[in-house]
Amino acid sequence: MNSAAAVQGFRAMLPFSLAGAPVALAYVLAARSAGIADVEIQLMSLTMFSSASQIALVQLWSGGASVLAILSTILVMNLHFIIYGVSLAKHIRLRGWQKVIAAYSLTDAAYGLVIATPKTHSLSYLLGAECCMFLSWNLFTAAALLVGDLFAVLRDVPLDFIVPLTFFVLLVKMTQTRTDLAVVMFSAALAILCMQLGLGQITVILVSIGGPLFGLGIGQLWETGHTTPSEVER
Amino acid sequence: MTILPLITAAAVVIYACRLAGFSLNLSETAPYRDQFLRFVPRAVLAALITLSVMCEPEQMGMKGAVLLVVGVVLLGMRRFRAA
Repeated sequence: MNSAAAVQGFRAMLPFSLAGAPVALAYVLAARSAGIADVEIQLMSLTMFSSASQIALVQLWSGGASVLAILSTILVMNLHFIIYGVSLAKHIRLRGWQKVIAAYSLTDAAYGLVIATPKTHSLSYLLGAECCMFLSWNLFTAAALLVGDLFAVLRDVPLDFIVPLTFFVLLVKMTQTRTDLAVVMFSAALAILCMQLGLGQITVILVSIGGPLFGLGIGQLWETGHTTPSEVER
Repeated sequence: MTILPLITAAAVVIYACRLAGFSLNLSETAPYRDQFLRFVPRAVLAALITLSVMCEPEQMGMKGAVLLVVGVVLLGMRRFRAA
């Protein structure tokens, strides 16, 4: 373990973790109104550690959905983590127990942060980032349970925009070639289409498969056409 | 009805998804797969950003404008550094 890299990962995740405050508040309010006990609300944050899945579980459970429907929804919502894991494993070599630990608190933000640049491709950095998000999400949940009324002011502050804004900065850095740009544009268009079709959480899975496939296709097309040296993939 | 068994089952489902990707053994080099995986982060980030901007129509204009300004600034900085 490289403690300096872990601290770097922890620090880098801090701005992302702020975005958890209004989400935690919304989650706690929804869970309480559904009649879920405070201990169970906190337990969900500790064991599931997925804001979208937790809120979905609360909504479906309070709406009287079956256990099978709830679990299959949660499965679909989290399938994209398989692709994240495969993608991360290409850059970070993990042994058995390391996989078990790293997988527990993998999130969109941790993946986006770690995969962005080669210097952040390390287990220590990943664990530092994950640890920060796990602690903050659970602290925000606990805080919302304890002093939810004081946090109510945060509900209308668009702090959640910090995450996509940071992702955008990372994405601009990662977009180096014409093919990269084509993949980004196509993926955004596909995401809009999926949203218009009401596909919800499946959108990320579809885009994470459709975008790269488009990139492979367009890359080959350009390679067989008039490719300039600057367009050759790094 | 207690929700505890449901929380446990949901936690197991989520953890299984998170662990599955790490557990797939893809150590050998395969050009197409590697190229595919190289595009995955770009596609996922583009999707997450798009979903975030589109999910609240009343804030879409403001968020879009912020991203546009940030994008122009970043591209300007990149060109400046390259020059």
